[in-house]
Amino acid sequence: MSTINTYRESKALSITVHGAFNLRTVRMIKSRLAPGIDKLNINLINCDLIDSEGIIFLHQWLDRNNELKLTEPPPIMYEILDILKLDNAWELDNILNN
Amino acid sequence: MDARFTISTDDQVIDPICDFTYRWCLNYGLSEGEALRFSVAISELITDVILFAFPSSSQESFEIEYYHTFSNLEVIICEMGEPFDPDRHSYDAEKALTENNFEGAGFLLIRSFSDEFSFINKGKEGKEFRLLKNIKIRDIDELLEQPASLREVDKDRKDEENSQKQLKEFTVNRIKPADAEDISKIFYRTYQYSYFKEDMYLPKKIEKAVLSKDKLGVIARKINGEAIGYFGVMQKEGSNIAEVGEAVVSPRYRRNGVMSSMMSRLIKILEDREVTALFAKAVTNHPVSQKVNHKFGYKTTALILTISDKVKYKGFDEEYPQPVSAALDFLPIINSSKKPVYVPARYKEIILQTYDKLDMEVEPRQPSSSQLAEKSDIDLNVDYPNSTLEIVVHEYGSDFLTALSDIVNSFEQNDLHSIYLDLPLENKATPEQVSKISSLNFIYSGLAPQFYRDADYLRLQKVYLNIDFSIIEVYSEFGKEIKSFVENEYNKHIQGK
Repeated sequence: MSTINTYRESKALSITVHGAFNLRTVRMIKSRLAPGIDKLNINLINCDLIDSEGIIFLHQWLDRNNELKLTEPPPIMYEILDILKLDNAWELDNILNN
Repeated sequence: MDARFTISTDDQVIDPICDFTYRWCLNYGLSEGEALRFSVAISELITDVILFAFPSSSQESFEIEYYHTFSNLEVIICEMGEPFDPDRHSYDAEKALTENNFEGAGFLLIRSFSDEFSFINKGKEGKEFRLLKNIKIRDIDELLEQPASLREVDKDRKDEENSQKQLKEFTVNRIKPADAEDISKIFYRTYQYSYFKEDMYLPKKIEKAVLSKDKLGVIARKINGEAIGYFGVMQKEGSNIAEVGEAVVSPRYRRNGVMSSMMSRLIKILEDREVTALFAKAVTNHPVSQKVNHKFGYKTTALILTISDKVKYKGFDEEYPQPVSAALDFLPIINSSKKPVYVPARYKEIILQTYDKLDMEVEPRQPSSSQLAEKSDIDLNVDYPNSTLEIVVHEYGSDFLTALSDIVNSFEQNDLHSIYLDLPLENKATPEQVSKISSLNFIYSGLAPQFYRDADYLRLQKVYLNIDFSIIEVYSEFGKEIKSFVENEYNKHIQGK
């Protein structure tokens, strides 16, 4: 079962996803997005599967000029970005944590 | 079926179902990457059902079923929620980037991460989504782990065929799990790797089938223990008849009565199990299988067009320019009692002749009136590798014509070769319903006796390819009459001649 751990520091919300990044995960994250938060640090080390709900959520977050940092996203994320032709719209160099 | 779950429309179900899907895919031979991609496809579909079929309730439920064959995995999701048609929701990357409109993104991923995706609108019976993933078969030698020396057998195969051996004695016994490897070897020696059922090259698959009692069969051996023949049948699911699966005798030991002995022994085993009949789908690109069947008393009851996609049989015709059709050969083992049948006028003569050939007693009746069920009871079986669909109607509801039209329309987009439609002959409504569906251009195929729930069915077929009937070889005289009847209907209703 997907779970998330969150930790807020000022305007940033750090999230660790355990399991899949899907509709349920998105709903859980949205429920913890308090007003004023404009940066998400998402640790995906323990996430193997992301689907379009996860991708759309992240894309819309970026589209609202928010900041996003991803740590070790699952490889299938890149395939999905490519299929949905979003790869050029994401500045992965800025988004990915080394 | 491997598994069936009734799941709620709560987003909590997405994870466990995807976890199960992933492990199920690995278990049946998908790589980790492909298993993950297929799990994403399932995640997308479940999410769409939750969001769009049941947008305002997390307390509804829907069904998910898992099936596997040797070469593919299939997941079927059935739900009774709000109508939506995936074909009307195409993804547009431009709209996604400029308008934040991601409509159709999920369906694009479903199509990208599965090998076949079908949507079937079943009218009042709801909607059905089918996802198929092909299993890439690794080098079959690797799977078999057979010594390379065995390949040498093939080099001399033709010589072997020409050097027939006289057999004085041989034994025929019911197969046991331990015979699995020898059965694979017989197939290899006879067909190399050209036999169309790949399972027969996998001893572990055969062993599993024997252990699960799915497969019944006999094996013939020389006195020194060498396996020389195999005859296997599978009991038909939901009926009391069995289908001839595979029958083979090593080329050098043919014409020694091995096949006859195996057939006699098998019939005895089936009688003991109270199996009422045997049937075989005999290919028509050559008459050999049909000839053998008729030698044992089978009667041809139907001609099924384009049943197998361009199969090559070593030792027979190497090139066959169209999907292979099959004669349905039927052998009653236990006599059935006389029953009433309701035969459409258009097929009355040929159907009654078929019953007569089978020595099956029926009482043809003309329905005075027929009452329809509350809703249609229809099963669908898709054969993806051969591009065919089998529609089995058990009950007609008032929505039958609409439901059938929707199913046919749904599948027509999938480049099908043929659709087979099985209608219950013991149902009073069949004659009237056959008239009503005439606009769908189904033509005659034949009689499918005792095929489902021990009842007889009329098989119709709709063919999407041009068929050259001159290369369809039917062996028996009555089989030729059926072929001629089918050809006339094909010319009249499909070709419009």
